[in-house]
Amino acid sequence: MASESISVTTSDDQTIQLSRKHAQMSQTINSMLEDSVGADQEAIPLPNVSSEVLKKVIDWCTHHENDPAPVEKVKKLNKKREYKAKNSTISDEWDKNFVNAELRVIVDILLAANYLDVKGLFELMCKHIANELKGKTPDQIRERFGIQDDLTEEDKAAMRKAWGATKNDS
Amino acid sequence: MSHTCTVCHKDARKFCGKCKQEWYCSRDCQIAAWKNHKDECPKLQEKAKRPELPKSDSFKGKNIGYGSEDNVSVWANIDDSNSTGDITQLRFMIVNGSNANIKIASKTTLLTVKDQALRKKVHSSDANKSQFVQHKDQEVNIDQLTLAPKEHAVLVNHFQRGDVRPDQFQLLELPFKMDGKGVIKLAVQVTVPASVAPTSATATSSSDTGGSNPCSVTSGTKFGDRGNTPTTHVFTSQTVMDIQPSHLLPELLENIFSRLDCESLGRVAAVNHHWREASGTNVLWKHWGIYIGDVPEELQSIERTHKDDYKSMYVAYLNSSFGRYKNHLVDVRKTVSSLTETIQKLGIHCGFTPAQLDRYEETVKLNLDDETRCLYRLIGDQTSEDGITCAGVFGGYEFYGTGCNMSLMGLRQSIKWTNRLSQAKIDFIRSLIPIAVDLDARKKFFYYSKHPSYPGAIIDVRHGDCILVADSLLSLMKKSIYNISSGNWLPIENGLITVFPTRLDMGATEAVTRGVRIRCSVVYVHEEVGSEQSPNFFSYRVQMSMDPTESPDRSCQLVSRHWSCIDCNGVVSHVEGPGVIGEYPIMKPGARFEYTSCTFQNGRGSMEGFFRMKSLTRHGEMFDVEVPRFSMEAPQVIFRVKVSALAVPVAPLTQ
Repeated sequence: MASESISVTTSDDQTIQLSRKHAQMSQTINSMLEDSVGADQEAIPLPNVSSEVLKKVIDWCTHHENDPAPVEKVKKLNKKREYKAKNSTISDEWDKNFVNAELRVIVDILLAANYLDVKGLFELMCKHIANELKGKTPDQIRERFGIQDDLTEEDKAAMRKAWGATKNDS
Repeated sequence: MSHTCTVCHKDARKFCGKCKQEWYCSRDCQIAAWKNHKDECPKLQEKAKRPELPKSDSFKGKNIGYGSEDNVSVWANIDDSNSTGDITQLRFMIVNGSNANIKIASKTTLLTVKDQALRKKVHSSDANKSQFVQHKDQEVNIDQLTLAPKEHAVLVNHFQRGDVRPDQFQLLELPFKMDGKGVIKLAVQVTVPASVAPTSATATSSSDTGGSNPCSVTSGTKFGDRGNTPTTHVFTSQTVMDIQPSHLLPELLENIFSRLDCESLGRVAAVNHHWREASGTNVLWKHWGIYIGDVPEELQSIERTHKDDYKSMYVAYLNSSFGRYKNHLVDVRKTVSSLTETIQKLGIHCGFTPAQLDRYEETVKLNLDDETRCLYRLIGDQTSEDGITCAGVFGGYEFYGTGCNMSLMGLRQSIKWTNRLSQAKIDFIRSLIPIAVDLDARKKFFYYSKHPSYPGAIIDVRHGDCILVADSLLSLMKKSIYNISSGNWLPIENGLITVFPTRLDMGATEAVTRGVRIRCSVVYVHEEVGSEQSPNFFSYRVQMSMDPTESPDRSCQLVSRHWSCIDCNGVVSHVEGPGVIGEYPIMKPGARFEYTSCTFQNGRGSMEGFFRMKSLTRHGEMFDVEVPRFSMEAPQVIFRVKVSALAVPVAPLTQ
């Protein structure tokens, strides 16, 4: 019988217990569990996830544990309309509160969600970051995300020229 | 390339077979270096026996490593010599630091490739060369590999069994995208023969009995179980490259960017090189560019010029006269193109020029909002040609020889009707411009509102009663498209698209009695007035059919109708009469009959009832067929003008 709780070891060498249900929301852990059927459970190493971030992930999983599994959208017959821009609306109130965190933490959660393959959380983080980017100037984005500007003046001039005057319109 | 030659500092792809620490570009360089290297080599060898698990920040896309127990280590490095960040190589090395043979079991997972596109590359480039490396689903498998004591193998795709010697490296080369998939999973299963089991191993799972089975794959790091049975050890290493927020993987960035509008996408491109590249992919820009003919020449030429480069297409479009509609064009074009795809015999004309629109706005003394203006740039009015009625884009209905077929109105016509409205004394009426007209009788109109309370909304007016039809012209069109494409509104013979719902999930109701299927639907008819007590006018449609698979002895004929009408106060009144609309339809397998009638209500109400049928085969027995209930609800009047307040007889309002 599969045990009800799984232990994982985080990058900062903490061993954290999480319920099987939550663990299985991560496709990565889930496949590791499947790989090791019959073997005694040892702590699963998660060398890329810190305990702080993992706790956040578990928080999210706890809140969303009863969500229906995401349904793969059926491709529309009409190919011309197949590609649709994804929206970035966060509808869940709890989620809105959840993403109200420091950007560094958000990025860490995003990476953890990507690594652990927790789809809903990954989507949420992408949405949130997209919202952060919307309506900001390149300068604001660089400042917010701590990005170094490695574009040359020529690059920028070329871009300005291409985009024309409309770029700065309201 | 992550390593440079110790001697000449060129890219190095080979390394000292003993210590595996010094890298060389060629054998010549290695020989040249040996004089100095031979002293430090043993020390380095000592060190190499215990490669440390690299700290995440030391990876930087260059190394993935795995430091293991005393005798086996697994590590890999990524060749980043291809600076464009497209394809690089992953080399994968297994080092046997023990005093015994180690055996790498078959079906060992070497690499889990998460990305679909990458997986394809692995398949296409390796499938033919490789004898032992197989790709199965997401996994790359190798066959059995035995490493002698102190031997190591760097695996390649044409890796050959038993051909591994210390000085003969084998490389596993897998195409690998530079900035990574984020996760690389390395798992190697190693079986150590019992007789020479390592003694220095740290036992972390001494009770592990599953380890004796060389085929079992377990996660985590295990070592130990000394004894006389062969033991299996599995090493896994999972690593994401250290990622600064500024340096998110392109795949992650693309996912984030796919949620941005064109303008924001243009902005993030100016952040840095990495973001610029990640935000410029065609797939991100594709959603705004749709390539469907019948649009103004200006747009067509932009699209021809930048055919498969959606980003530069967008930039060119920003610099065109369409630049002003940058926030609307995507939506409007999609709507227009799905409109032309959805409705046959549309009879729609090409859009208006900016000059025409300017003149129009000047004449009607109102400015259209950008969305509506953009729509008029792309499509013009609908007119019947050659006596063929075209389908009004907003649908219509017909009953008792009356009805409507609402079409998009051209600017000239709109000016004509606006002139009459502009003389009205009421602000609200003056703020209206007709934009849709009944194609046949020209007695019903939809108006575009510029009133501050309902900016851009579409309004239907009758005797001064204004109801809201839609929030905007575009959303009214979308509503049509949605209803038509989902099969809810159906075109009838003369091309008219009837707005009676036909789908059960969208308002129609249905009941089946003895094989007779009755489907009912109802629409509100604003332009008609009922009685004084029941001013709201509704038209309903009844469809009767019998399934072709029914038995012919079910055939029957309608004798009489029996309606129960429930008004807004719950008062039920019964209406009975022979036949329906003067007919006595016969229902037999495959037969269909439908008719449209009308009723009045005060606000809301519903109708239900039954049709009395006479069986045509069974001695003429009578039975009742249920007519399902359908509900009627009049939309709220948002503005009411006393007819007397309409200073001049305004034709479209009072007819």
